Amino acid sequence: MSSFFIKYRKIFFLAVLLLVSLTVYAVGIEKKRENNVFDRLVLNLFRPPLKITALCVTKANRLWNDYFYLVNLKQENRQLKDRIKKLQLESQLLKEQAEENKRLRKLLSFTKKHAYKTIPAEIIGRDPSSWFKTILINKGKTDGIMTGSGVLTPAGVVGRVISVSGNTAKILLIIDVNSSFDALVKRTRARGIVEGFAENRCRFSYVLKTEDIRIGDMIVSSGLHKKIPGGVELGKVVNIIKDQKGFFQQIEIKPAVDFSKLNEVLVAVSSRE
Amino acid sequence: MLKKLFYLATAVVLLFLQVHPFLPFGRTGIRPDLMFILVVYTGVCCSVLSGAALCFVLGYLVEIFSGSSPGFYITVYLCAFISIRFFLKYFSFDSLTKLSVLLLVCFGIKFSLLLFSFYFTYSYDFYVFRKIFFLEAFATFILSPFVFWVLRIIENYKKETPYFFGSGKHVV
Repeated sequence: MSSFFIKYRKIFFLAVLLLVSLTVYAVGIEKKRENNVFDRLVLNLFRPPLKITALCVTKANRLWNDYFYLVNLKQENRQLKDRIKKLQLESQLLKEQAEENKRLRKLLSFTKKHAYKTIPAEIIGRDPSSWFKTILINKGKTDGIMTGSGVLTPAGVVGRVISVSGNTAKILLIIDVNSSFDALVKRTRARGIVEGFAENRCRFSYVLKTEDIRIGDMIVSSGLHKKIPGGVELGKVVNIIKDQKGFFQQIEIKPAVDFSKLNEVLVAVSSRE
Repeated sequence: MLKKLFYLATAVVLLFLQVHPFLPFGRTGIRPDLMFILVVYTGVCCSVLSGAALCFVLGYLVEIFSGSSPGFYITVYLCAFISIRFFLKYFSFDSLTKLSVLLLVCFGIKFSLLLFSFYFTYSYDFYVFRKIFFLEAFATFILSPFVFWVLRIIENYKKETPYFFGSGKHVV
Protein backbone atom coordinates (compact mmCIF):
# COMPACT_ATOMS: atom_id res chain seq x y z
CA MET A 1 0.00 0.00 0.00
CA SER A 2 2.74 2.40 1.03
CA SER A 3 4.84 1.51 -2.04
CA PHE A 4 1.79 2.23 -4.22
CA PHE A 5 1.41 5.61 -2.50
CA ILE A 6 5.11 6.42 -2.93
CA LYS A 7 5.01 5.39 -6.57
CA TYR A 8 2.10 7.68 -7.36
CA ARG A 9 2.81 10.41 -4.77
CA LYS A 10 3.08 13.12 -7.41
CA ILE A 11 -0.32 12.30 -8.85
CA PHE A 12 -1.81 12.12 -5.34
CA PHE A 13 -0.31 15.49 -4.47
CA LEU A 14 -1.68 17.12 -7.62
CA ALA A 15 -5.10 15.53 -7.09
CA VAL A 16 -5.25 16.72 -3.47
CA LEU A 17 -4.25 20.29 -4.39
CA LEU A 18 -6.78 20.39 -7.23
CA LEU A 19 -9.49 18.94 -5.03
CA VAL A 20 -8.78 21.51 -2.29
CA SER A 21 -8.92 24.40 -4.76
CA LEU A 22 -12.10 23.12 -6.40
CA THR A 23 -13.76 22.62 -3.01
CA VAL A 24 -12.78 26.11 -1.86
CA TYR A 25 -14.06 27.52 -5.15
CA ALA A 26 -17.33 25.60 -5.03
CA VAL A 27 -18.00 26.48 -1.39
CA GLY A 28 -16.99 30.13 -1.69
CA ILE A 29 -18.55 30.92 -5.08
CA GLU A 30 -21.22 33.15 -3.54
CA LYS A 31 -18.93 34.63 -0.91
CA LYS A 32 -16.31 37.31 -0.93
CA ARG A 33 -12.92 36.57 0.56
CA GLU A 34 -12.49 37.64 4.17
CA ASN A 35 -8.99 38.85 4.97
CA ASN A 36 -7.07 36.40 7.18
CA VAL A 37 -3.72 36.99 8.91
CA PHE A 38 -1.69 36.01 5.85
CA ASP A 39 -3.78 38.24 3.54
CA ARG A 40 -3.32 41.19 5.90
CA LEU A 41 0.42 40.56 6.03
CA VAL A 42 0.71 40.51 2.21
CA LEU A 43 -1.48 43.63 1.89
CA ASN A 44 0.61 45.47 4.47
CA LEU A 45 3.82 44.48 2.66
CA PHE A 46 2.51 45.70 -0.69
CA ARG A 47 0.93 48.89 0.65
CA PRO A 48 4.02 51.16 1.08
CA PRO A 49 5.60 50.58 -2.38
CA LEU A 50 2.21 50.77 -4.09
CA LYS A 51 1.37 53.99 -2.26
CA ILE A 52 4.71 55.63 -3.02
CA THR A 53 4.76 54.72 -6.72
CA ALA A 54 1.09 55.65 -7.20
CA LEU A 55 1.75 58.99 -5.51
CA CYS A 56 4.77 59.68 -7.73
CA VAL A 57 2.86 58.92 -10.93
CA THR A 58 -0.13 61.02 -9.79
CA LYS A 59 2.12 63.98 -8.96
CA ALA A 60 3.92 63.71 -12.31
CA ASN A 61 0.56 63.53 -14.12
CA ARG A 62 -0.73 66.57 -12.27
CA LEU A 63 2.40 68.55 -13.05
CA TRP A 64 2.13 67.69 -16.72
CA ASN A 65 -1.60 68.45 -16.87
CA ASP A 66 -1.24 71.71 -14.92
CA TYR A 67 1.35 72.97 -17.35
CA PHE A 68 -0.91 72.38 -20.33
CA TYR A 69 -3.97 73.79 -18.57
CA LEU A 70 -2.18 77.12 -18.24
CA VAL A 71 -2.67 77.66 -21.98
CA ASN A 72 -6.44 78.02 -21.68
CA LEU A 73 -6.46 79.33 -18.14
CA LYS A 74 -7.86 82.81 -18.82
CA GLN A 75 -10.88 81.61 -20.73
CA GLU A 76 -11.55 78.82 -18.26
CA ASN A 77 -11.26 81.26 -15.36
CA ARG A 78 -13.96 83.46 -16.84
CA GLN A 79 -16.25 80.48 -17.41
CA LEU A 80 -15.72 79.25 -13.87
CA LYS A 81 -16.50 82.67 -12.39
CA ASP A 82 -19.83 82.70 -14.26
CA ARG A 83 -20.52 79.20 -13.04
CA ILE A 84 -19.76 80.18 -9.42
CA LYS A 85 -22.30 83.00 -9.61
CA LYS A 86 -24.97 80.58 -10.85
CA LEU A 87 -24.07 77.99 -8.21
CA GLN A 88 -24.17 80.58 -5.42
CA LEU A 89 -27.72 81.46 -6.37
CA GLU A 90 -28.67 77.76 -6.58
CA SER A 91 -27.02 77.14 -3.22
CA GLN A 92 -29.07 79.91 -1.56
CA LEU A 93 -32.30 78.47 -2.94
CA LEU A 94 -31.33 74.94 -1.85
CA LYS A 95 -30.48 76.14 1.67
CA GLU A 96 -33.89 77.72 1.88
CA GLN A 97 -35.52 74.47 0.72
CA ALA A 98 -33.43 72.41 3.15
CA GLU A 99 -34.58 74.58 6.05
CA GLU A 100 -38.17 74.21 4.92
CA ASN A 101 -37.71 70.46 4.55
CA LYS A 102 -36.28 70.29 8.07
CA ARG A 103 -39.26 72.18 9.52
CA LEU A 104 -41.80 70.04 7.67
CA ARG A 105 -40.10 66.78 8.68
CA LYS A 106 -40.23 67.96 12.28
CA LEU A 107 -43.89 68.87 11.96
CA LEU A 108 -44.72 65.43 10.55
CA SER A 109 -42.45 63.73 13.14
CA PHE A 110 -40.50 61.88 10.42
CA THR A 111 -37.45 59.95 11.54
CA LYS A 112 -34.13 61.69 11.16
CA LYS A 113 -32.33 60.96 7.91
CA HIS A 114 -29.08 59.10 8.11
CA ALA A 115 -26.09 61.43 8.28
CA TYR A 116 -22.76 60.54 6.66
CA LYS A 117 -19.23 61.74 6.85
CA THR A 118 -16.77 61.02 4.09
CA ILE A 119 -13.19 59.80 4.36
CA PRO A 120 -10.96 60.71 1.40
CA ALA A 121 -8.72 57.90 0.15
CA GLU A 122 -6.29 57.28 -2.67
CA ILE A 123 -6.30 54.30 -5.02
CA ILE A 124 -3.12 52.29 -4.58
CA GLY A 125 -4.04 49.18 -6.52
CA ARG A 126 -6.42 47.69 -9.04
CA ASP A 127 -7.70 44.17 -9.55
CA PRO A 128 -4.89 42.03 -11.01
CA SER A 129 -7.34 40.39 -13.43
CA SER A 130 -9.41 41.78 -16.27
CA TRP A 131 -12.47 39.84 -15.13
CA PHE A 132 -13.22 41.42 -11.78
CA LYS A 133 -13.46 45.13 -11.11
CA THR A 134 -12.07 45.98 -7.70
CA ILE A 135 -9.72 48.65 -6.41
CA LEU A 136 -7.50 48.88 -3.35
CA ILE A 137 -7.42 52.09 -1.30
CA ASN A 138 -4.94 53.36 1.29
CA LYS A 139 -7.47 53.67 4.15
CA GLY A 140 -8.81 50.84 6.30
CA LYS A 141 -10.23 49.79 9.63
CA THR A 142 -8.02 52.21 11.56
CA ASP A 143 -9.64 55.11 9.66
CA GLY A 144 -13.15 53.90 10.49
CA ILE A 145 -13.95 52.15 7.22
CA MET A 146 -16.15 49.09 7.46
CA THR A 147 -17.31 46.34 5.13
CA GLY A 148 -20.35 47.52 3.16
CA SER A 149 -19.52 51.24 3.30
CA GLY A 150 -20.44 53.14 0.14
CA VAL A 151 -17.63 54.62 -1.96
CA LEU A 152 -18.28 57.83 -3.91
CA THR A 153 -16.73 60.61 -5.93
CA PRO A 154 -18.27 64.02 -6.62
CA ALA A 155 -19.46 62.51 -9.95
CA GLY A 156 -21.36 59.60 -8.38
CA VAL A 157 -21.24 56.15 -6.80
CA VAL A 158 -18.04 54.14 -7.29
CA GLY A 159 -18.94 50.96 -5.41
CA ARG A 160 -18.88 49.43 -1.96
CA VAL A 161 -16.24 48.13 0.43
CA ILE A 162 -16.05 44.31 0.35
CA SER A 163 -13.10 43.66 2.66
CA VAL A 164 -11.07 45.73 5.08
CA SER A 165 -7.72 45.26 6.76
CA GLY A 166 -5.88 47.66 9.07
CA ASN A 167 -4.69 50.19 6.50
CA THR A 168 -6.27 49.06 3.23
CA ALA A 169 -9.74 48.34 1.90
CA LYS A 170 -10.92 46.51 -1.21
CA ILE A 171 -13.78 48.08 -3.14
CA LEU A 172 -16.12 46.30 -5.53
CA LEU A 173 -16.92 48.71 -8.37
CA ILE A 174 -20.49 49.04 -9.65
CA ILE A 175 -19.34 47.73 -13.07
CA ASP A 176 -18.26 44.35 -11.61
CA VAL A 177 -20.51 41.42 -12.54
CA ASN A 178 -20.92 40.57 -8.86
CA SER A 179 -22.12 44.05 -7.95
CA SER A 180 -25.77 45.01 -7.40
CA PHE A 181 -27.17 48.28 -6.08
CA ASP A 182 -30.70 49.19 -5.12
CA ALA A 183 -31.53 52.25 -7.21
CA LEU A 184 -34.31 54.41 -8.60
CA VAL A 185 -34.98 56.70 -11.52
CA LYS A 186 -34.62 60.31 -10.37
CA ARG A 187 -37.47 61.59 -12.56
CA THR A 188 -40.14 58.94 -11.91
CA ARG A 189 -38.89 57.19 -8.71
CA ALA A 190 -39.21 53.82 -10.50
CA ARG A 191 -37.20 51.20 -8.61
CA GLY A 192 -34.75 48.62 -9.87
CA ILE A 193 -31.35 47.03 -9.34
CA VAL A 194 -28.19 48.33 -10.95
CA GLU A 195 -25.96 45.39 -11.89
CA GLY A 196 -22.43 45.38 -13.29
CA PHE A 197 -21.90 44.47 -16.91
CA ALA A 198 -18.08 44.18 -16.86
CA GLU A 199 -17.34 46.61 -19.69
CA ASN A 200 -17.83 50.06 -18.17
CA ARG A 201 -21.57 49.58 -18.49
CA CYS A 202 -24.31 48.58 -16.05
CA ARG A 203 -27.76 47.09 -16.38
CA PHE A 204 -30.79 48.55 -14.62
CA SER A 205 -32.72 45.36 -14.00
CA TYR A 206 -36.15 44.38 -12.69
CA VAL A 207 -37.90 47.52 -13.91
CA LEU A 208 -41.46 46.77 -15.03
CA LYS A 209 -42.44 47.46 -18.64
CA THR A 210 -45.21 49.69 -17.40
CA GLU A 211 -42.67 52.16 -15.94
CA ASP A 212 -41.91 55.24 -18.01
CA ILE A 213 -38.14 55.22 -18.58
CA ARG A 214 -36.48 57.43 -21.18
CA ILE A 215 -32.98 57.64 -22.60
CA GLY A 216 -31.03 60.21 -20.59
CA ASP A 217 -32.89 59.51 -17.34
CA MET A 218 -30.67 59.75 -14.28
CA ILE A 219 -30.41 56.67 -12.01
CA VAL A 220 -29.62 57.41 -8.35
CA SER A 221 -28.97 55.30 -5.26
CA SER A 222 -32.15 54.59 -3.30
CA GLY A 223 -30.70 55.09 0.19
CA LEU A 224 -32.32 51.89 1.44
CA HIS A 225 -28.93 50.52 2.41
CA LYS A 226 -27.92 52.41 5.54
CA LYS A 227 -24.23 52.47 4.64
CA ILE A 228 -24.79 54.08 1.24
CA PRO A 229 -26.29 57.58 0.98
CA GLY A 230 -29.40 57.98 -1.14
CA GLY A 231 -29.76 60.31 -4.14
CA VAL A 232 -26.19 59.90 -5.39
CA GLU A 233 -25.87 59.44 -9.15
CA LEU A 234 -25.16 55.95 -10.48
CA GLY A 235 -25.47 56.64 -14.18
CA LYS A 236 -27.57 57.68 -17.15
CA VAL A 237 -29.87 55.51 -19.27
CA VAL A 238 -28.30 54.99 -22.71
CA ASN A 239 -30.33 52.13 -24.15
CA ILE A 240 -33.76 50.58 -23.55
CA ILE A 241 -35.04 47.30 -25.00
CA LYS A 242 -38.65 46.29 -24.47
CA ASP A 243 -38.98 42.67 -25.56
CA GLN A 244 -42.30 40.95 -26.15
CA LYS A 245 -41.42 38.33 -23.53
CA GLY A 246 -41.23 38.87 -19.78
CA PHE A 247 -42.32 41.58 -17.38
CA PHE A 248 -39.19 43.69 -17.29
CA GLN A 249 -37.41 46.17 -19.54
CA GLN A 250 -33.75 45.74 -20.46
CA ILE A 251 -32.09 49.03 -19.59
CA GLU A 252 -28.42 49.78 -20.12
CA ILE A 253 -26.82 52.62 -18.18
CA LYS A 254 -23.54 54.45 -18.51
CA PRO A 255 -21.94 54.95 -15.08
CA ALA A 256 -21.61 58.53 -13.87
CA VAL A 257 -18.02 57.87 -12.83
CA ASP A 258 -15.23 57.45 -15.37
CA PHE A 259 -13.42 54.49 -13.84
CA SER A 260 -10.37 54.79 -16.09
CA LYS A 261 -9.54 58.21 -14.62
CA LEU A 262 -10.24 57.36 -11.00
CA ASN A 263 -7.42 58.36 -8.61
CA GLU A 264 -9.14 59.39 -5.38
CA VAL A 265 -12.43 58.36 -3.78
CA LEU A 266 -14.57 59.25 -0.76
CA VAL A 267 -15.73 56.51 1.58
CA ALA A 268 -19.11 57.28 3.16
CA VAL A 269 -19.24 56.32 6.81
CA SER A 270 -22.38 56.70 8.83
CA SER A 271 -21.70 59.40 11.44
CA ARG A 272 -23.88 57.62 14.01
CA GLU A 273 -21.52 54.63 14.08
CA MET B 1 15.10 25.90 -2.22
CA LEU B 2 16.90 28.81 -3.89
CA LYS B 3 15.02 28.16 -7.09
CA LYS B 4 11.69 28.40 -5.26
CA LEU B 5 12.76 31.58 -3.54
CA PHE B 6 13.74 32.99 -6.90
CA TYR B 7 10.31 32.15 -8.32
CA LEU B 8 8.55 33.65 -5.30
CA ALA B 9 10.56 36.87 -5.57
CA THR B 10 9.68 37.08 -9.27
CA ALA B 11 6.03 36.43 -8.40
CA VAL B 12 6.05 39.33 -5.93
CA VAL B 13 7.51 41.69 -8.53
CA LEU B 14 5.05 40.57 -11.23
CA LEU B 15 2.11 40.82 -8.84
CA PHE B 16 3.21 44.32 -7.84
CA LEU B 17 3.22 45.32 -11.53
CA GLN B 18 -0.11 43.63 -12.14
CA VAL B 19 -1.81 45.33 -9.19
CA HIS B 20 -0.30 48.75 -9.79
CA PRO B 21 -2.97 51.34 -10.70
CA PHE B 22 -0.86 52.84 -13.48
CA LEU B 23 0.00 49.64 -15.35
CA PRO B 24 -0.12 50.16 -19.13
CA PHE B 25 -3.28 48.55 -20.62
CA GLY B 26 -4.74 48.52 -17.09
CA ARG B 27 -6.59 51.80 -17.25
CA THR B 28 -8.83 50.51 -20.01
CA GLY B 29 -9.86 47.65 -17.75
CA ILE B 30 -7.68 45.03 -19.47
CA ARG B 31 -4.77 43.76 -17.39
CA PRO B 32 -2.19 41.31 -18.72
CA ASP B 33 -1.97 38.14 -16.61
CA LEU B 34 1.74 38.30 -15.78
CA MET B 35 1.41 35.59 -13.13
CA PHE B 36 0.10 33.23 -15.78
CA ILE B 37 3.38 33.64 -17.68
CA LEU B 38 5.21 32.61 -14.50
CA VAL B 39 2.87 29.62 -14.10
CA VAL B 40 3.78 28.47 -17.63
CA TYR B 41 7.49 28.91 -16.91
CA THR B 42 7.13 27.08 -13.58
CA GLY B 43 5.36 24.23 -15.37
CA VAL B 44 8.34 23.75 -17.67
CA CYS B 45 11.21 24.36 -15.24
CA CYS B 46 10.06 23.07 -11.83
CA SER B 47 9.45 19.57 -10.51
CA VAL B 48 5.84 18.37 -10.15
CA LEU B 49 5.68 18.73 -6.37
CA SER B 50 7.33 22.12 -5.96
CA GLY B 51 5.76 23.49 -9.16
CA ALA B 52 2.24 22.56 -8.10
CA ALA B 53 2.78 24.03 -4.63
CA LEU B 54 4.13 27.19 -6.21
CA CYS B 55 1.14 27.50 -8.57
CA PHE B 56 -1.12 27.12 -5.53
CA VAL B 57 0.73 30.00 -3.82
CA LEU B 58 0.66 32.15 -6.99
CA GLY B 59 -3.10 31.66 -7.33
CA TYR B 60 -3.58 32.50 -3.67
CA LEU B 61 -1.51 35.69 -3.98
CA VAL B 62 -3.59 36.88 -6.94
CA GLU B 63 -6.80 36.18 -5.04
CA ILE B 64 -5.72 38.41 -2.13
CA PHE B 65 -5.90 41.42 -4.46
CA SER B 66 -8.68 40.24 -6.73
CA GLY B 67 -12.43 40.37 -6.37
CA SER B 68 -12.71 36.75 -7.48
CA SER B 69 -14.24 33.95 -5.45
CA PRO B 70 -11.73 32.11 -3.24
CA GLY B 71 -10.11 29.19 -5.06
CA PHE B 72 -10.81 30.53 -8.56
CA TYR B 73 -7.27 31.47 -9.59
CA ILE B 74 -5.72 28.53 -7.74
CA THR B 75 -7.88 26.18 -9.80
CA VAL B 76 -7.07 27.92 -13.10
CA TYR B 77 -3.31 27.97 -12.42
CA LEU B 78 -3.22 24.37 -11.19
CA CYS B 79 -5.13 23.14 -14.26
CA ALA B 80 -2.69 24.99 -16.53
CA PHE B 81 0.25 23.49 -14.61
CA ILE B 82 -1.12 19.94 -14.86
CA SER B 83 -1.71 20.39 -18.60
CA ILE B 84 1.87 21.61 -19.09
CA ARG B 85 3.24 18.57 -17.24
CA PHE B 86 1.19 16.39 -19.57
CA PHE B 87 2.55 18.19 -22.66
CA LEU B 88 6.11 17.79 -21.34
CA LYS B 89 5.80 14.03 -21.86
CA TYR B 90 5.58 14.55 -25.60
CA PHE B 91 7.28 17.89 -26.36
CA SER B 92 10.24 19.93 -25.16
CA PHE B 93 10.00 23.66 -24.61
CA ASP B 94 13.60 24.81 -24.74
CA SER B 95 13.29 28.06 -26.69
CA LEU B 96 11.40 31.33 -26.26
CA THR B 97 9.31 30.60 -29.36
CA LYS B 98 8.25 27.21 -28.03
CA LEU B 99 7.44 28.75 -24.65
CA SER B 100 5.29 31.38 -26.37
CA VAL B 101 3.42 28.65 -28.27
CA LEU B 102 2.91 26.82 -24.98
CA LEU B 103 1.53 30.03 -23.46
CA LEU B 104 -1.01 30.26 -26.27
CA VAL B 105 -2.05 26.64 -25.73
CA CYS B 106 -2.42 27.34 -22.01
CA PHE B 107 -4.61 30.31 -22.85
CA GLY B 108 -6.83 27.87 -24.71
CA ILE B 109 -7.13 25.82 -21.50
CA LYS B 110 -7.78 28.97 -19.50
CA PHE B 111 -10.45 29.99 -22.03
CA SER B 112 -12.40 26.77 -21.54
CA LEU B 113 -12.15 26.97 -17.75
CA LEU B 114 -13.23 30.63 -17.64
CA LEU B 115 -16.01 29.99 -20.13
CA PHE B 116 -17.39 27.28 -17.90
CA SER B 117 -17.08 29.40 -14.73
CA PHE B 118 -18.29 32.74 -16.06
CA TYR B 119 -20.80 31.75 -18.67
CA PHE B 120 -22.60 29.28 -16.44
CA THR B 121 -21.98 30.71 -12.97
CA TYR B 122 -22.14 34.46 -13.47
CA SER B 123 -24.20 34.40 -16.72
CA TYR B 124 -21.62 36.64 -18.39
CA ASP B 125 -22.57 38.04 -21.77
CA PHE B 126 -20.65 35.90 -24.30
CA TYR B 127 -19.70 38.86 -26.50
CA VAL B 128 -18.19 40.71 -23.51
CA PHE B 129 -16.48 37.53 -22.28
CA ARG B 130 -14.87 36.87 -25.66
CA LYS B 131 -13.70 40.47 -26.03
CA ILE B 132 -12.12 40.64 -22.54
CA PHE B 133 -10.48 37.24 -22.98
CA PHE B 134 -8.85 38.02 -26.30
CA LEU B 135 -7.67 41.46 -25.19
CA GLU B 136 -6.20 39.99 -21.99
CA ALA B 137 -4.55 37.16 -23.92
CA PHE B 138 -3.14 39.62 -26.46
CA ALA B 139 -1.72 41.94 -23.76
CA THR B 140 -0.19 38.97 -21.93
CA PHE B 141 1.24 37.47 -25.11
CA ILE B 142 2.85 40.78 -26.11
CA LEU B 143 4.60 41.03 -22.73
CA SER B 144 5.46 37.32 -22.40
CA PRO B 145 8.74 37.29 -24.39
CA PHE B 146 10.15 39.97 -22.12
CA VAL B 147 9.11 38.10 -18.93
CA PHE B 148 10.42 34.77 -20.28
CA TRP B 149 13.66 36.46 -21.30
CA VAL B 150 14.16 37.98 -17.82
CA LEU B 151 13.33 34.63 -16.16
CA ARG B 152 15.82 32.85 -18.40
CA ILE B 153 18.58 35.37 -17.66
CA ILE B 154 18.13 35.06 -13.90
CA GLU B 155 17.88 31.27 -14.12
CA ASN B 156 21.05 31.01 -16.20
CA TYR B 157 22.88 33.38 -13.89
CA LYS B 158 21.75 31.32 -10.92
CA LYS B 159 23.02 28.12 -12.56
CA GLU B 160 26.43 29.70 -12.98
CA THR B 161 26.49 31.11 -9.44
CA PRO B 162 24.92 28.62 -7.05
CA TYR B 163 25.36 30.92 -4.01
CA PHE B 164 23.51 33.72 -5.73
CA PHE B 165 21.00 34.25 -2.92
CA GLY B 166 23.11 33.61 0.12
CA SER B 167 26.75 33.71 1.07
CA GLY B 168 28.07 35.87 -1.71
CA LYS B 169 30.45 33.16 -2.93
CA HIS B 170 30.20 33.41 -6.69
CA VAL B 171 31.25 30.17 -8.34
CA VAL B 172 31.72 30.87 -12.05
